[in-house]
Amino acid sequence: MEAGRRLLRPHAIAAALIAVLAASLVVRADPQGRELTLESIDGTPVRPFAASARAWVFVFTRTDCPVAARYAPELQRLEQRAVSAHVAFHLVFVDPAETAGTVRAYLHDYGYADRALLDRSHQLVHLAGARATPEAAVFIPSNAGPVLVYTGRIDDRYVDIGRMRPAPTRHDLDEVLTAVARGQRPEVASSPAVGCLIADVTR
Amino acid sequence: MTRARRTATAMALAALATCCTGGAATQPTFTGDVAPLLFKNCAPCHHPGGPGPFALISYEDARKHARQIAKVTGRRYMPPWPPDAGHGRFVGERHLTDAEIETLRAWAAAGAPEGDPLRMPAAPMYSAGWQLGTPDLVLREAEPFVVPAEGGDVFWNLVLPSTVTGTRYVRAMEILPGNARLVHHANVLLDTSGAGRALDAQSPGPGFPGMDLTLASNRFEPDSHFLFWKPGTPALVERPDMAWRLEPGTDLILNMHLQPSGRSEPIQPAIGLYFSERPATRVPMLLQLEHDGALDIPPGDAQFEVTDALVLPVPVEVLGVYPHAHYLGKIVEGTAKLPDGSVQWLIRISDWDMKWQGVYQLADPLSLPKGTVLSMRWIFDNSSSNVRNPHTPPQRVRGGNRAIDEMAHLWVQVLPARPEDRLTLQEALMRARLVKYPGDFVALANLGSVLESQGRLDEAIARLQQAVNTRPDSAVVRNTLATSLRAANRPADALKEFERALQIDPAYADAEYNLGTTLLALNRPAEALPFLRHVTAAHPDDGAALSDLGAAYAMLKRFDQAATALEASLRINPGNAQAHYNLGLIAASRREMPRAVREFEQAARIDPTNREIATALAEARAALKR
Repeated sequence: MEAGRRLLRPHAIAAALIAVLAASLVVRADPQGRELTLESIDGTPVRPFAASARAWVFVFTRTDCPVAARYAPELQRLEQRAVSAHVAFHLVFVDPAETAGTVRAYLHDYGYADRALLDRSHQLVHLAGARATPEAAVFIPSNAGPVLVYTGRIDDRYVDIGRMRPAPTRHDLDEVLTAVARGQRPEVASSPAVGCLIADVTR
Repeated sequence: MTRARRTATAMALAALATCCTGGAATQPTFTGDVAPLLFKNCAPCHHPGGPGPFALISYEDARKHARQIAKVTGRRYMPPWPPDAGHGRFVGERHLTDAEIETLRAWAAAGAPEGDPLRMPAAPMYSAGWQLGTPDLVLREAEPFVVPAEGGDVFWNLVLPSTVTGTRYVRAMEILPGNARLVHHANVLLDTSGAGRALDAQSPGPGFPGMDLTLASNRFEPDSHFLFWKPGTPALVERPDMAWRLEPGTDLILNMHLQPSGRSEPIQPAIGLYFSERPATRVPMLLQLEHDGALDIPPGDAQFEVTDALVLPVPVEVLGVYPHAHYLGKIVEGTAKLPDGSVQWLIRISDWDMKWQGVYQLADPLSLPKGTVLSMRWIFDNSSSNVRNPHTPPQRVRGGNRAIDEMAHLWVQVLPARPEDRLTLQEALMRARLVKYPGDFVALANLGSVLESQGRLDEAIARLQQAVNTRPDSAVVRNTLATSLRAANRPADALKEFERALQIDPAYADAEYNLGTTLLALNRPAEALPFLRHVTAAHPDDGAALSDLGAAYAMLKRFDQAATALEASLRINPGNAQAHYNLGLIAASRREMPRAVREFEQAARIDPTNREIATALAEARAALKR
């Protein structure tokens, strides 16, 4: 009986995992991703996937979103973790009306390094399928181009606008970073992000 | 001819527009439909420099949040107005109608069209300074308090000494938060006990932490006003007949609920006070429904109920309500069941959120007859489906002051018909408290004090004796017990209790004064003298104590010292008939009859019905004629 159970268990786990992957892990390889061009706050064109990295993390944000602002200390910690794991980490400002000066002032006020990307035409937003700020998108490299492995919240502190836990119970982006740093795909490919709707600042 | 053709063309175009745009003819636009809604309901907080995280004044402001606006208004999160519609009408209500919410939804769904710029209504203007002009007194902490960049809610208290030198009557109060976006709400407490200062001294930097404060002085004293502020509300202007008293030595404690913003930010709030020359002629009273003692919420329980009720012993007018609980609160209901059986809602909040708590002033005061039952009902959710639950996984939660504890309160501000009704209400509150908490020290002490004030001395003494037995080290209760004993003509027992109170607290001026005057009444001036001298040395502005000190000297025939003390007493309180009378007696004993007559005349003017004074005056006048 015992031996039989031991034999069965790995199969059961594998079956469960496959079911989870089939249900939630939708990966998209984008051969054009390598060519995608955004803008730096200096006004220069940037191809974010051009630099090699173990993975690329993008966090979509805007300067007038209070939910995004409150994540500043957590995002700075996550950036440190990412960089030490050879994962590229970018803040991406999505409001086309925001000037480089406004963005710079925001970065300074909230303690970020003086660098960020501007996605004025929402190319990366569409590639990632992001809907709100703050929301993260994580890509890993492949022969076919960058592969999107996660789009969603930083953590589960916010359940809805104005409805939040005293502290997060799940650190989604941190878990994704742990996985990609180990060369693995994250178990969960998407989660609902709560914040300011990107569709409101679409040109 | 030309003119006629133009008109025909215009009519044709209008017809074409109507025929072909169909439903789009009613499509809402920013200038025509949305701006008026935002200006009325959102802009009071959402303006540049305001407490809202972004402005909603210009078209561009609104367009950049159009879907967000539709979403948060659709679930009635914004504008924040927790009371359920139809369960009481309040000052400053911010309910959007279903039609208004639909307008915002349709506008966002249509791509947030601007509409005709010429139809744009005038935008509201907001000034950053004092709304009521320069205050008579501004209180501000010298150093800013720095709100940390992250973490949970911060509950912080700043202690602001009032600096007034005499009693002032406050007709309005305004708070400038310093950084409106960080302060979710604030309560001002009046502290005459020094407890706030002591807590401040124990905590580094300005102020001290704490969510709900228990100070020795009553929370809303002296005059039972809610001094509650939340962003977007105007200055707290009192009714002209209801200014609240600010006594010298009072500290204002600004109890703030702050939210970290993502960066550490300094705040330096200021309180502005506007004084009135007129003291209040109507004094409200706060009735607290609560049952924190019943709070023992098992983990996982999503429907834990706590209730309380009070039968009104006198008719009152309800002016306002203030429900209070912490993070597990889910539903609160306040009702008034009238003697005829009808039920009036005081308030109902079906999605309690501690962060949006507030004081709600009734739009029209509610008259309630004697015998009305005020009721409170709270439902608490201590399950993991309550996202605000401070414990993961849920843990047993009891009543207490900390944010992780719970409270079940409903304060009801009422206006009694007659001043003496306050005592009757206080008696009812304390008797109800004794039912909830048998043997409760606070209830026994307060009930005893009320009964003593009403002259119901036998029960007062019994209740105060119970309180003393419960807490033998309370100098205040022993002093009240002794006062009752003295009034009940038991001076020997009274002296013992005054002495015990002074043994417990040698600096207790009230007990020392009472002991001195009791000895004086027992015709023991030599024993009274050291106590009265000590009180007047410690409190040189205590006119009553100086008057009694003068009387003690006079009884000891030390007339020069007596006259000095009595004259000092009259400089503080010129309306003290007893001091004039005693000065008259001293003058008469020195055969200074003109002075004696003058003093007796003054005394008689102040207290014309006093026979003793009248007799002395008549005799002095007769002596003067001789």
